[in-house]
Amino acid sequence: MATVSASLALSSADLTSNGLVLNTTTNLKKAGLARTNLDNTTGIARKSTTSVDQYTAFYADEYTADKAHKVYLKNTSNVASEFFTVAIDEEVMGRLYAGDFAFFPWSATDGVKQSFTLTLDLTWATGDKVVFDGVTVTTATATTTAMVDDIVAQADQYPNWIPTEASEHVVLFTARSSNNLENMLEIESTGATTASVVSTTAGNGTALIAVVQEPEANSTANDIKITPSVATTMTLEHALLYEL
Amino acid sequence: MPTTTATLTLNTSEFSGGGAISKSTTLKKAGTATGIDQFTGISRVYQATVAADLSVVAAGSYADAQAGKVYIKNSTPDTNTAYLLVEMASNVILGRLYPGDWMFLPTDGTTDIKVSTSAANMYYEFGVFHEG
Repeated sequence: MATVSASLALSSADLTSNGLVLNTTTNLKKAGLARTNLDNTTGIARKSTTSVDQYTAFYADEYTADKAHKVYLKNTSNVASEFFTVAIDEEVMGRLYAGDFAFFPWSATDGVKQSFTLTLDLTWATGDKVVFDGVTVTTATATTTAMVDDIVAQADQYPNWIPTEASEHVVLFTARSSNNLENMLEIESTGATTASVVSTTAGNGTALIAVVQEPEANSTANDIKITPSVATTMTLEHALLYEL
Repeated sequence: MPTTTATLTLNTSEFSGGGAISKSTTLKKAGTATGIDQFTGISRVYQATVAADLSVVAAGSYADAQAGKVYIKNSTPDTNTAYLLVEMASNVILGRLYPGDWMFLPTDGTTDIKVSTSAANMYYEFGVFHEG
């Protein structure tokens, strides 16, 4: 197992009358009883931006929740007024001004992923289509069962959703990301059809959707989000030390 | 104005291309070259029983939009499982500090920071560098 030590030194000769000298070191270990060393890292990386749009540095969905992960961030700017606003989910933690760094634990708490079912019914014909999330699936066999199989077979092609077979007539779509707000379905009731899913059938085949997990509950993953203060080039240095 | 320096060192010899990285910064007021001049001191707390939502940063006590920094350490002797849960605002979980672990985080004076202990007989310490 890798041994990674993290040390912090805080010092000042004149902040208080007797000065400040604080040195602390810890070996980064996994959570729980075993407490073996952390053994995964993203490595030190840098991201440059030229807009003030918020972006996500680390997605909670991509890491195991409630572990002993550690996040390192540094603002590489030399301009005193430039800062990154650092947030977890929607809560602002603070501002990293030029040269500032942060080092903190991260639980990577997962959010709730939106999901819905797509039920295919009545008579489907060869050449009928279902279009969703930028993927067009055309059935080569005139049965709803075959269409379900065709959709699930394209799972790797859907950028924002994962289709799985719920039954021979029903596909369950689950969002890949719990904070995938830009891809929310705008549907309110069971059985409604929506422009999000477009089916084209030659006969009387139907494709109905039903919400399983409401989108309102989705914005809960504790992603680490960054917002640059200026639209000129700013560079964030970052790393994650984590466990599986 | 005071000069306060914070230095982070991460050291490992076992990752390929690894080795020590060391980053230093002088704590300054927001958007300026002026050193931060206020400090709570380092508090050390003994918590005899499991407790939730112990205040470390009460946002209402500080001005907003500042370049404050908070230091927190779980100084409990190594019991393997006694972690300090760090939370922001209304219980948004940031992470767990296991015995010996520390954190150094910016705080802009708008969000409460709290800790909860997971076991009895825990120790933790914290300090806030701020602008008032």
